[in-house]
Amino acid sequence: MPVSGYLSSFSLSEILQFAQEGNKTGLLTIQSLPNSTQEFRRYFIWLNQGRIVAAADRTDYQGLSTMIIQRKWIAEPQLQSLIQQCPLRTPLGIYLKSQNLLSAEQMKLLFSVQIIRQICALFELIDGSFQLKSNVRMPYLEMTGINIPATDVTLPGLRNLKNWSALQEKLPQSMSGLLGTVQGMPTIQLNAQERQLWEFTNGQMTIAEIAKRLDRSIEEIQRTAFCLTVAGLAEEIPFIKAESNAQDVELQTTSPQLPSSAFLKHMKGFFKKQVKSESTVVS
Amino acid sequence: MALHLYGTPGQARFDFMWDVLIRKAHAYILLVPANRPGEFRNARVISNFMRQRTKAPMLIGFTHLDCSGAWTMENMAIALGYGSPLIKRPAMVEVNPTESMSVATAIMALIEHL
Repeated sequence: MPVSGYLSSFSLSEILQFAQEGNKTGLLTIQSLPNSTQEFRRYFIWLNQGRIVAAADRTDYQGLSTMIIQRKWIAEPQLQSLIQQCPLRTPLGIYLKSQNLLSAEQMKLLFSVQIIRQICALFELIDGSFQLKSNVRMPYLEMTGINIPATDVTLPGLRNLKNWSALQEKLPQSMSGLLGTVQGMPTIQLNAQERQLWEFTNGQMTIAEIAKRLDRSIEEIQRTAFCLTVAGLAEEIPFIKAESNAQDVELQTTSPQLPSSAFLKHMKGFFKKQVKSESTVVS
Repeated sequence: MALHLYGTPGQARFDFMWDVLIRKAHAYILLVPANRPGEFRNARVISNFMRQRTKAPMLIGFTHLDCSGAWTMENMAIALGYGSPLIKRPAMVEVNPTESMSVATAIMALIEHL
C-alpha cells in the first residue's frame, strides 16, 4: 500500500527521514496542488534501501541523457546508440564511465544537479501531495550510479529555505531539549550554526536556554534544531518542569514496582470476560 | 480489585499532565491516529519524553486504521522512530477507543508486557 498524504501535514523533510529510517525502496512522487498559487510541478525521486538514487521532473527516463547532451559531453546520436547498448540493470552513468565517456567529476556534477539542486528546490513547495510507492522498476537510464542517504539532502534543502511558515508547527518547542542520536561528530557536514547547536545535544538545556547562551533568537535555534532532528541527528525531548522529590527521581531511572502476578492474572481474566460478554452481545 | 485508568491529551499545552501521570504509572498506552500523519512527529516527541521519564512498559495503540489516508502500522512505527533494528520496538496494537471490547483487548495486551 503506498504511503501518501500532504506536505502540509507531513513535510518533505519528514518524508525523507521516514524513507531513510525505514530503508524504503520505491518511487516518491511530489506534486504541487492543482489549485495552488504556485506553478504546477511534479517531481519523482527514486529510492533504494533508504538512499536516493535518481530524481527527475519527467517519467520518460530522458532526464540524465538530456543533461549530458546539453553539456555537449556526448553527442545525441552517439548517446542514443549507447543507451541501446547499456546492459540491463546497469545505471547509465556507470556504463558511460566504464566506456571512458564520462569522468568521475562529471558524474558527481550530474548527480549534484539531478539530485541535490532539484530536491532542494522542492523544499520551497508550500503545499503539495506526496506518494511513496514501492515495487517500482529502478530507472537505470536516470541513474548515475551515485546514491546518498535520503536525509543528506535535508540539511542543504532547509538551509536555503526562505519561507518557514509551513513548518512553523513542526518546530521543536522552546522548552524542549535535544538529544544527539549519533556518537561523536556526525559524518554529514554541518554548517557553523548546526555545529554550535550540536554541542548542546546532550539533553541538558532547553532550546530557549541554548538561544540565550548562543545569543541567537529562539526561532533561529528552533529552526536549526528542526534541521538536526529531521536529518536524524537528534531527537526532541520535552523538558517538563514539575515538582520532584526523591521518590520521583527513583522512578525515572528504574522500572516501577509492578502489581503482583496474582493481581495481573485476575485483571487479565476480568478483561477476558468483558471481551467475551461483549462479543456475545454483539453476535 | 481496582484498576485506575487515566488519559491525557497529547498537545504540548497539556504536557504537565504527562509528567504527573507517568510518575506512578505501571504501564501506558500511547494512542496515535493512523490517518493523521501530521501528528506523528508530536507522538514521536511524546514517546521520547516517556522513554526518558520512565521504564514502565509502553504499548502503542494505533487508532483510525479504518479511515481513508490511514498509514499501516509498520509505516507508523518507522515514522515514530522505531525503524532501526537497533531500537527496541514496543508492542503495537490496533485500538478503537470508542469500543470497550477493543480497549479491553488493548489493555490485555499491555498487561502481557508487564
